[in-house]
Amino acid sequence: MGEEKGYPSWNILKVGFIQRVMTHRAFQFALQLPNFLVFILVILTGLFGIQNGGSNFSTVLTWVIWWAFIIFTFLFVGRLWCLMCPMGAIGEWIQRGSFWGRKRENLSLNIQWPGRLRNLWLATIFLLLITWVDNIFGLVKSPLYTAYFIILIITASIMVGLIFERRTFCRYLCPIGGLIGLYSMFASTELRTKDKEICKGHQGKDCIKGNEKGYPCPMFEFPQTLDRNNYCNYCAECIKTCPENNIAINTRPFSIDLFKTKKKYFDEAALAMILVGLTAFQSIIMTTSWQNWMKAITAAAHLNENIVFSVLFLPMVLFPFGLYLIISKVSINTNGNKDNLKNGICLAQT
Amino acid sequence: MKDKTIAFILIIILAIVVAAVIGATSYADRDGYYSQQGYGSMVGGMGGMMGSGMMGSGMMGSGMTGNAYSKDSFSSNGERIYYTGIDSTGRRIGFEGGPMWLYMSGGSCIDCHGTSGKGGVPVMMGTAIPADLTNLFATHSHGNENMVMVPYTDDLLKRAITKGINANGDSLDPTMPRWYMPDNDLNDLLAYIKTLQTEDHHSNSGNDTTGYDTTGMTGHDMTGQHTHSSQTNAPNGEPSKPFLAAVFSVILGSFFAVQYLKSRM
Repeated sequence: MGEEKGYPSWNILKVGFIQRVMTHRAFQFALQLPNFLVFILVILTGLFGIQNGGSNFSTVLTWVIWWAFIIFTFLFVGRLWCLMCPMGAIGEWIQRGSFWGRKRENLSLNIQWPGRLRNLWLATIFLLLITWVDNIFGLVKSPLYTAYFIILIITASIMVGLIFERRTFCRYLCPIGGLIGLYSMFASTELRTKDKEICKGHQGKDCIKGNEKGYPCPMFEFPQTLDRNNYCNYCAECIKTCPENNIAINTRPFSIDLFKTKKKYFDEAALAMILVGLTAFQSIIMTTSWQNWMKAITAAAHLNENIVFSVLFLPMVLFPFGLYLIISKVSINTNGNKDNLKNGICLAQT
Repeated sequence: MKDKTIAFILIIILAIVVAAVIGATSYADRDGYYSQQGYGSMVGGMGGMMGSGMMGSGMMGSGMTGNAYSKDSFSSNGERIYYTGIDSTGRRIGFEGGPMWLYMSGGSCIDCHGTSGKGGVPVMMGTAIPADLTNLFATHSHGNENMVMVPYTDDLLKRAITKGINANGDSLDPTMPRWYMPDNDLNDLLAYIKTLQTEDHHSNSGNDTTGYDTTGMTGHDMTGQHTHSSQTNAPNGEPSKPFLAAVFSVILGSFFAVQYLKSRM
């Protein structure tokens, strides 16, 4: 298989053992539990441990090991981290009132997330906010603040899970969710349907409605039209629920999504360009020249360094996005192709 | 039923983890490793959770550095620089070298040498163990090889801070940033470092050798370094009890509110 898609791929679920493991209801919980225990340890050591960023388990594990390591997981296996993320897991456990069992009723109000907010703008704002907080308050080097940060994320995950349906937090609010999604488009694995015609002919749509074997897709994805990795976290609910056994997890060449997907969104393109700005900004502030500029500006303006930094932060981070916006608008006016506004995602990743 | 069993097992595992963390720290603390002021103590943290924390003065008061030492007022310009890397005019002290996080989130002497100046604890992204600053003005050992160092003078210490050259004339590891600051700031910092000395060694050659009573120490209680030590014995970086209580209440409150609403729907 795979030829019809235009690129080589191989379904790892053909291996009986993997298929059995992934269709077991406790599959996700088994991966979440160890991470949950480690995160509890991270919180405890952050709160009560030695208050030195270089020596504390919480800061070293979170910012030096975990953050560096998961970047590579996105590039190779997409949102695999989200499958086992303890922050999302806690919200989901409480929402479902179950660790892995399939329950018909859950403990959430199951309110739908507002249509106007079904995009990455809020997540992008949170990402910028966290970066700003880190630069001003030293989040990364403070075990205590690291613990507070994780506690706040978990609290948000629980609260959103109790009010809104499924993994609304992970899909629309997680500060790194959008970033992970973009990186995952590059991954060499994918979850897709084996044959779209089977899906079209099947009326039940168990993958989005759920059945006795599994929950509807927690990330609000519809496997039938899935053609990119952005939001699939490999939770395997659709593998469990599909009565036609029509779901595959394929290995494939890298970066296929960037060129094959038919879905392009402005919020994702914007995030991609903002990430370019963010990366450039974080590099600039490490230079000695930046220190000198800051000194000169604060002295000239008679302002506190925090204020100067905050004033400069947004324009500098948003500069590539603004530039891209202008170029896209000019391009649209020139040739009328509105897709130019959404192509930044490919541009930035390339 | 299955879920209840799992929950019970989880609680037991959690209890074991908590006990292990506290136990391990107590053991480390017994050996005095974490007892250095400025690095805090897990046991100390467990003992009193009433710190000012994130929402209190720790985060909002002291400004840029956001250090976890719960200190937002300083008796001297030198102490302020040592703690925050910012002088009394609000100017951040410039530097070259040092670990990368220093550029990302700012920092100061205290981040590596601790409130007591004892150093000795590896720093993130650092390639050398921070030096002990409490015995600089006597013959002392330094570095991993316990190299014997000649006593510092004021000028030698200024050179170490600004140019990264130790008392023996050797270059310090790049983990130690090269700080540049005006002479008055440097003098104030020097005066503060002198208050950290555990023995009554004064600067033993060269210039002013005024010991503790140097420029910039006005307002500081100069009855000796022990005053400073006792000040910093207060538990540092403790979690904010109100913050944790608020989070816990919000989660529990929301849970029961949602269940109540569901029962009415």
